[in-house]
Amino acid sequence: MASNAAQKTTSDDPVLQWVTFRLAGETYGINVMQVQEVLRYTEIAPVPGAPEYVLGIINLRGNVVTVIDTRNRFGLASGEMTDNTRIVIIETEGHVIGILVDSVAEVVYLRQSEVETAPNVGNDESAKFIQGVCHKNDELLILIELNKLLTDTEWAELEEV
Amino acid sequence: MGNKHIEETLTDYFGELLNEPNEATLTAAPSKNEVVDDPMDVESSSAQAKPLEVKHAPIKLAETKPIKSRAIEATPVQEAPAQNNVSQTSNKNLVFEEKKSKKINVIEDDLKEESRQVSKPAVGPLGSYKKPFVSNQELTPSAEKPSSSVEQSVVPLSKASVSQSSDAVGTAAYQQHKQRLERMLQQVSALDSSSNTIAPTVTPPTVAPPTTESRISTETEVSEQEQVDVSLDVAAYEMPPLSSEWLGNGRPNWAQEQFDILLIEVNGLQLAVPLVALGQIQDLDEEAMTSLFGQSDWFMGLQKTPMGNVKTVNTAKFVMPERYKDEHNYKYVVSINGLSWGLAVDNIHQPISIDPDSIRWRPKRDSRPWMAGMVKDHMCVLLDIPAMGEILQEQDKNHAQTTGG
Repeated sequence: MASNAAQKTTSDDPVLQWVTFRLAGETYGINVMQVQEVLRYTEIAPVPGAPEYVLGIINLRGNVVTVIDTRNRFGLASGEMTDNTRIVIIETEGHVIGILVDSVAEVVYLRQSEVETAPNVGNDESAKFIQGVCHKNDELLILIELNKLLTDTEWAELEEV
Repeated sequence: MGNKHIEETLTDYFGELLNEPNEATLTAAPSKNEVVDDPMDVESSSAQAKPLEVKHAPIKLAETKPIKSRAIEATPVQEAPAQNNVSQTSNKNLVFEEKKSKKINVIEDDLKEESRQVSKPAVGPLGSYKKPFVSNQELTPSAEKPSSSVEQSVVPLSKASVSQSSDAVGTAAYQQHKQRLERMLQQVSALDSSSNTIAPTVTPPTVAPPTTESRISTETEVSEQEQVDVSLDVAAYEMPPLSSEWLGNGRPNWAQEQFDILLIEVNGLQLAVPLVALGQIQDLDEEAMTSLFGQSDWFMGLQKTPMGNVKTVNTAKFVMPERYKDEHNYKYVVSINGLSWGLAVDNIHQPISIDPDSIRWRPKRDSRPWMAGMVKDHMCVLLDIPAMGEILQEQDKNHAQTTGG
């Protein structure tokens, strides 16, 4: 099974693979099993009346995929597009969407026991996207829980885009 | 004997029933189809039994019913000598019946005595069992008890007839039943005592310590072999944080005697912190600090240290957001003892030993509970670091979830 291949289990401490990307100077990680592909930046067609966290739509081999403004979603300042900007196509909660990131770095292996709980101070809803933090290669990875990226209501909004 | 309880008299009664041969015929209530030796006797007995029914009305129906049926059958015995057509066999039975009827009358006498004591609280079954048994000799002279006019009209028995009721059969039955009840009492008391002794033997949790021990040892193995960073983390926070409790003299727990303070500078403002409540001091590297989105504005990020990640607080923004200027010059992170929180500061001066009396302690700390008082000599605010640590922990929702708070 694909999931078993990506998840090497050592006793009760599974090893998970994470795709890391950069955004606003920090390194984030998402579960490799939820990543379908990584695209170079292409023209994103804006959609009038779409929520502010939606950049627009792209045509991915005949399928329309909604691209999310990740910086906006995380409450970060907006940035400029560069040659390293990528659209990561992910599948979560049965939906396929794209998230715009500054760059994609690598795939890392992390033990479950290495993941530490991140603080959650303040009232910003976006804090719930952080699954935890983990040290890797002398830097701190912020692990994102993609399943919480959008609420049911927001998924319904995306369907109308 | 007037105080004899219903249970005891019923005990006598049922004891006899258990031991006498004509038990079935005696206990069965007479029906219309029932064959009786002398139908005339039944009629007369029913006439005599009527007043008894009325007298026993206040008492429990379940107890009076069998006695009533006994009385109905037993009453012919009193008039038996007047019957000429009684056979020899039935005469023997009648003699026996006469004895029983006398005993029944004694029982009913006692029941009436009980019914007169309505005002007395009812004794529960266990309470009556625990009462010492009355001997047969005490039971028999029921006529000695103070007799009322009601009793005399209902049970016109002489002393002699009463004494006849304490025959050999009745005594043996009583003794046998008494013994049986005593055995039951012993069983009940044994059960009580056993239930008392079981509880303490079960309660001590003897299994828990080995399980915890084995779990800890497993975790220790893992951390030693593979999780060096984690073990450092544990070492950093293994010291319990200082108690933020304030005592009756209006001073915090950590300032009961002379103590050391550290003067720090935050955004151009001098503050004092108790040295005992501090952990480590690290250089602040904002470039290396990991900022997390979605947090409060006073949260700077996670500072990586050899002792683990320190959640760094923008101290000026936390304690005086109204005076905070966006530009800061933080150079150090002073961590709180026992916690993974640290305060960003501009400068740190040498520690000073200070007397608690040289501080004006705040009498009320409802607002700004992190402020302990004013250091008079330096005219600066003394921070209550343990209280601040508690506030920070409470602010962290993930910490509250972990600790079940």
